[in-house]
Amino acid sequence: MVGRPESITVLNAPAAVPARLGLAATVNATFNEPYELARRFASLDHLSGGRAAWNVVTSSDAFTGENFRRGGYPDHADRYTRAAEFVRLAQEFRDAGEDGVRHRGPQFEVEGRLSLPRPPQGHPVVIQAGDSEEGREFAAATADVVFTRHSTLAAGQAFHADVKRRLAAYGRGPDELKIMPGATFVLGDTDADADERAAEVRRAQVGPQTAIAFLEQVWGVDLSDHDPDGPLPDVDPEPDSTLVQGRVRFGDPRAVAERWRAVAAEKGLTTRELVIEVTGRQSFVGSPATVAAQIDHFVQNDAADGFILVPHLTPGGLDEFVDRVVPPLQERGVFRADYTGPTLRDHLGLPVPRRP
Amino acid sequence: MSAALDSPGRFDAGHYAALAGLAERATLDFVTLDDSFAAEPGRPDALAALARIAPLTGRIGLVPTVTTTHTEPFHTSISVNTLDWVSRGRAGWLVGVSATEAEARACGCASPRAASTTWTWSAAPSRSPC
Repeated sequence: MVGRPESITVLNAPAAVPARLGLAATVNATFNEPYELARRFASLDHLSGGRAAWNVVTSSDAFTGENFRRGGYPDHADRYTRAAEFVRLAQEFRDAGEDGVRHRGPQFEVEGRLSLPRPPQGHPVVIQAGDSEEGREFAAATADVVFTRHSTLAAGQAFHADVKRRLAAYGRGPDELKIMPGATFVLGDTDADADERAAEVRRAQVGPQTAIAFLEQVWGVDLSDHDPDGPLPDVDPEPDSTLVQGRVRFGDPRAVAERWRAVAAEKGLTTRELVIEVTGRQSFVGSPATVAAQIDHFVQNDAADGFILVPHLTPGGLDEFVDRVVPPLQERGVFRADYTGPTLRDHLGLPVPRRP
Repeated sequence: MSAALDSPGRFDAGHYAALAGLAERATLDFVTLDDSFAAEPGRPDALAALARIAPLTGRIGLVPTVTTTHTEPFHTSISVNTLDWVSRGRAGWLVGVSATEAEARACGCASPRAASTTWTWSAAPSRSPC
């Protein structure tokens, strides 16, 4: 990936400045080795005084594989098999005493001992995002935190119930895995102000070119001459198109086009307005008090244990939330007024894993 | 002039920050921190430790040992580059190799790489970390 720093290294640096924030590095389990990564995360956890987290991701494209000597990429199910053994092995390394680790598994055959003692958190907090059957099972077995895209109340509740239900099979209680949907927000002085701002934000996010690019993903043909402020294209989508290879497609393109045409006709929408209508909208829109109440409602009704805030502007987009929404959350008594402990596990209410 | 910060058995950032601060007050060129995949001596990942103290220092060069035998060139490259970014242009790289059987086995390799090939540029491209 071009233009992106190496995440563990870059998080060691701010560990020097904010003294309490958790530091979550996204690191791939497909093209790394367990010993090296166990050591690097143990180092981050020691050097930050117990604030490290590992967002475990896997690779499934040859483009990433080309950066590594082994090359290639494993298929979907194998990625999770490897990741599960990888995370378990990294934990074995951190748990091991003087004798070190001897591991013979389907994916890894290693022996060794780390040059660091078990870090303050025992293990960094393991974060995972993945909605597939394998991803959910991996989370139930291995993760401390799950990131999800299910941002409506109903979808959040269904995901929450499904993943929590899987924990018992691994001898884990429902509080041992925290579910955190990604959440966007738009604030206003009143709810009506916020609605107006939310519409402006959506228009800014879906500019004319973005709308056309989005349309091409469904139609599968070059639509660069299409007028984004006119109606949807007359031509039908090309279902076997190679134009959009490697990009996410949206089910059966002809069915999608038919549905979109119906929505556009019913509401009298241009192409761009239609794309704004059918693509993701902000999770929470309203006055600070309204947004605080919505957030609380999600948590009280088992749609989320917490949230990953995704401001629509970076940097600066978080300021408003900090200044205007955190205080009413604190007044409701549902968000802390201060940290209660030094480590990330303290913040999340996760116990330090016992050494087996 | 440079100084080695190597401190077996120290894993706390404050210790390394204090030493680097001392070296910086003396206007040294750089500090080094040794590293390997061996279990002894006890120490943190050198690149991580120097990235940790980068914001606490302003001028001194930061030179970790980063090994090249059982690591991926892609990871080593972006990690050292990132140290250069977070220190605003003060990173160095002490190139190390892994020669022991213990280090090889920790990385899933049956035996260490032949001494004659750990340092040299081989005509045959290496397809695995072993």
